[in-house]
Amino acid sequence: MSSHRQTRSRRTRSGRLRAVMSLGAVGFLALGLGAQGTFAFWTDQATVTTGSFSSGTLDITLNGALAGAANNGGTTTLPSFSLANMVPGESQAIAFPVANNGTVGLTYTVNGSATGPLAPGMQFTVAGGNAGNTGTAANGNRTGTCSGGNLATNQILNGTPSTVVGTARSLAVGAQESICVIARLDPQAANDLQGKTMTASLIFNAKQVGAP
Amino acid sequence: MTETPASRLREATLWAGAVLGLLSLVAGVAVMFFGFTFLIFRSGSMGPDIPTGSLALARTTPSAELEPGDVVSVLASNGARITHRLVSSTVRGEEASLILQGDANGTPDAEIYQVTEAERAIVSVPYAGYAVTVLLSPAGLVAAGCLSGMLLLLGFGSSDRTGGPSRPSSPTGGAGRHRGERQRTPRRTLVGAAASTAALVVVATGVARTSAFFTDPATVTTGSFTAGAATPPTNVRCGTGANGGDFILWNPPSGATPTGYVLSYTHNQGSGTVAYGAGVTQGRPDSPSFLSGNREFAVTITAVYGSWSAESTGAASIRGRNIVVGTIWSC
Repeated sequence: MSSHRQTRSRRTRSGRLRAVMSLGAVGFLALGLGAQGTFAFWTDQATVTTGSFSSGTLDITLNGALAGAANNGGTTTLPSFSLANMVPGESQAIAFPVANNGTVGLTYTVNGSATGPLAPGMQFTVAGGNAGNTGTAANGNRTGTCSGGNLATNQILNGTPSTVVGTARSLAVGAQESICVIARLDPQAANDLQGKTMTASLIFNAKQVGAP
Repeated sequence: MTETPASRLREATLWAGAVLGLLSLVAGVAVMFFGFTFLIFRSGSMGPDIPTGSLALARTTPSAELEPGDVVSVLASNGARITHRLVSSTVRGEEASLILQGDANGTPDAEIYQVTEAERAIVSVPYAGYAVTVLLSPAGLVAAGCLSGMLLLLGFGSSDRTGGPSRPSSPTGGAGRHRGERQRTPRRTLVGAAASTAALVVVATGVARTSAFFTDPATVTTGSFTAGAATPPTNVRCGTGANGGDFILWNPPSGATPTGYVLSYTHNQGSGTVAYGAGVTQGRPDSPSFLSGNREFAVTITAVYGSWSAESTGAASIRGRNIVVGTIWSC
């Protein structure tokens, strides 16, 4: 009985010590850190809750291709988006879906680059909606049009990627939109561009919503 | 001696409280005096090494000491705190330009960060960020305050579960002391809860939420666009038109189809040009007197392709023959 009492007494004291430790430590923090006078927590608090964690994947697809992490940074080709024997003023349009295949919202901008000696004479227009193509090679009046509003008009691309659509467009998870592109040989193309060839690349830079 | 489950629970709780308190103390000192920062990862592009919800300990480091491969936290121009891996840095004086890239991203961040110092992550713990965030929410702070109060009760209260003020004959507890504890307890609980809550709020100042944003650049390439070559019309001649009558005729070029033609002529009474649309292969300037009066035409046909043109080589000489004296002329 006596030993039991002693044990309990010691335990009670050590319990006090530990309780004081747990309180004293945070108390010390309260005093010490308070001296820094920073308010980061309070400014953050309004926007940051547990709900703001975004795990998951970001995945943009073009024309139904490039899904999955393995295709992050990948390239797909539109072989039908081409035209031979173009004369100045002729154009072709193509539309393809841009989709958010990931689990977080994304925004994207579009850059463009081109290779080939015809690049200085080719003008690219990016719009929404569907594509329509009329005219014949025989009449030298092939013309592509887009049904939606223009996002970029008659951009000339070169070897260095440049901004085509600089205003970010957003796609919610699972959303998609149709992007229509027109390639036109400049009606004022110089004579020395005759017989030349080019290919263009449009880079859709997808970022997680909120990324810089 | 015997240890009841209740007393074991009390012991464990007290130890846990003490350990947490000491950890808080160490963390607080580190944040206060040694430039350490806690980072909570709100997104996952640093995965799989640092998944969403990780808590990382970082230390403020001069930009010149950062090395490629370090996990570095900076403020982006839009105010978001970004933590990505350092790809390369260009140091100029005290300021450095950092190129960062998330481990799960295929490309570096678009923004190049200009910093004099940055937080370099030292160690990270998965999921701990979730716990800290919950703890630092208003509800979490209240809960933590209450728990601190309970710890105080446990530590300063008697471990005797059966004793109480209404049972002075308690065989184990000193009734007087026990009663005294109970009387002081409410105030102590209040003090404990308040202190703990304040402490947690202040600890929170050393915690920064950071994002490791995903990027995915996808490229679509076109097929090839080829410009046609402007080739000149050939075989410029005088002859019978498609629907009869005398015309200047020419053959269309073999290459791309022109968008039109221009017929240029000079003859002994004047000169001029006439434009024709795509697909036309005959022309008759000065109609209807075209060939009358023994005119001799020097004719070139130019194929027009928008801004391009190609002229037939050499001027064709076209002259009418007098079929009936003075009235009818023909090729």
